[in-house]
Amino acid sequence: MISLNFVRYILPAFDMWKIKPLQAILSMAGIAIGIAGFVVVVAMGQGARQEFTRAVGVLGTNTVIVNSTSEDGLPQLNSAMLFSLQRLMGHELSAMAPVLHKYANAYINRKQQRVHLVGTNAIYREVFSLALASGRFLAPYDVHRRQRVAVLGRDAALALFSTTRATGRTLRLGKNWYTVIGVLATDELPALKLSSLQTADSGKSVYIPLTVMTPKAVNDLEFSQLLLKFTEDVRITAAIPLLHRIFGASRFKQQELEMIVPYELLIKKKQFQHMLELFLLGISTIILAVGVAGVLNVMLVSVNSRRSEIGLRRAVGATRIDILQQFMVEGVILAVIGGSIGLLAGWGMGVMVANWFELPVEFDLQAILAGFVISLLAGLISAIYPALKAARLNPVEALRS
Amino acid sequence: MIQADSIDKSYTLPGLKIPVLKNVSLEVGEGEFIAIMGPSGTGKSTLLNLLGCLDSIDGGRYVLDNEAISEMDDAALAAVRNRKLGFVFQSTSFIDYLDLPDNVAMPGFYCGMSRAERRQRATDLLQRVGLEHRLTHLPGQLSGGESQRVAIARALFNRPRLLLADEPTGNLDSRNSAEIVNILAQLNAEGLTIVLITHDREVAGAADRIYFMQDGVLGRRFDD
Repeated sequence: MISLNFVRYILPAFDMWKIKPLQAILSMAGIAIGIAGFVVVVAMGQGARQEFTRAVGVLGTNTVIVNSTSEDGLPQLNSAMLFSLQRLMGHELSAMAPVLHKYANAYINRKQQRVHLVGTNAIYREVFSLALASGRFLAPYDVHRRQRVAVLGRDAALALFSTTRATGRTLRLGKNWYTVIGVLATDELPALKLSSLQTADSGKSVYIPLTVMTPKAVNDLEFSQLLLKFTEDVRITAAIPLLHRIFGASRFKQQELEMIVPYELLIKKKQFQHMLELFLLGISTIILAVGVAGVLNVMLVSVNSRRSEIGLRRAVGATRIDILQQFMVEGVILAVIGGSIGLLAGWGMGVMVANWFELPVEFDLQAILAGFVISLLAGLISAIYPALKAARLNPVEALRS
Repeated sequence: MIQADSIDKSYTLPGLKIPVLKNVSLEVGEGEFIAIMGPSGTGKSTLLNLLGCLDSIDGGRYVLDNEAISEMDDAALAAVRNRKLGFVFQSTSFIDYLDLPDNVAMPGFYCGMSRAERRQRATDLLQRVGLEHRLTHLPGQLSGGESQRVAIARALFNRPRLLLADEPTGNLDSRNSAEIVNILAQLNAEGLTIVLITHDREVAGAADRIYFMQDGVLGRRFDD
């Protein structure tokens, strides 16, 4: 009986707004702001989780990056270290990619463009789980035979050839001509945006064999970065002391080298975002509580100023339940309309947060539903007391006022 | 229609019990029109509220239209008020944000009538009390006499068996007052049972019988 009965109170609930529109709007504002904050928080949390998952998907949990950070800018890593690693940790390592970074001018026809060159080997692709849009990545024999071949990041291909279908074309890098053998599919690697990773945006880079970039012999290479991927069963924290010994502990102390575990950075970033979320959630909850108090107040005033209406309705046949439902519906409508405005505002704020602070923001049905349900709950909570008060009124006393 | 037997009613203030009705018995047959007179504050309105199932009695027994009212719960009482009773109060009480047809149709809302049907019946009733030119008005735009006619229209909405009127002419001049009495007399002539409270001997004169109430005790008035 009671279950769907409340529906018929929905339309009449709006009649009341003709008298006190300002109060209705003010009380909705609190709920709206609270819900907006909540939606932004949920969307930010969702975005952060997705970014984290994506980044971990790209980097894996067992990747270690060693960067040379000496002030003179000279590469501090060399082939000898690779051999030591191979000898001492060969069983635990699943991939090893030396990298040399450089900037160069690229020429196509008469066009000149500055590009970021990444000199590396075939393993690089494995470490970062790079996908190809077309062609292939650098192969071991490209490195051995010092082939002048290049793989373009998606953005680099677009910048140089105005298309991602650049495989098979040629371009000049510095003085030499290179054949494009492949184009990457990804336009960006979110994980690589971590500021302390001295890895350029993969999308805008051009990849060539390390042996082509430097004239040195294969067993005497020098490079500025080393990417290491350990097998799944290795605990990185346990492996780090040995790594320090292999590269020379003092060189880390003298800041010639640094060691980064991207997974740990990601975890830290995630923790920071989680703190931010909790903080915003707290603020939103407070504002929402103020909003609930606002609706509660409006509903109490409404009940008090409409005592004779309540008495009258009781006299013509309204039960206590009827009165209860009427005022519950009025309160819930205030909250739900406020909440819906809040949902829209939250969406707008989320877009702004995403643009201005470059934080990942992800809206999904879950956030919208949650916002809606919470405003519904806020409405129920703020309306229950005034509605009960209205329902408990003795009709005779109510009529007398 | 009404069988009230030895009804007691008192109001309690903190630490104080004030008896309002003392051993009141009243019988009203179907189609009768009775008036209750008496000074202010002697319990007339309290009696009417009890007869109207708006309040509960402390002692005695009340049977309305063969139903034992004193044993009913809130929902059953509300249903009785809705289907069997019509009220006209002295101070015109309406819902100020609803237009006249919606005000008149209020009893229909609580018995599940569709809005179109409610509006139609309310319009017919407003025509019947001579207010067909006021259909789009709000209650605040009416004169005193018009208000009471709207109140009567509302009281009649669910075709009640009993009309309870608490000083319906209390705020009206003699011309408007006579008009309301006319409507009541006509309704009674059509078979509606009416219990009327009034200060006005002339208004009371329209009734079949007149009762007099003093200090919570109800008695017949034989001098008329």
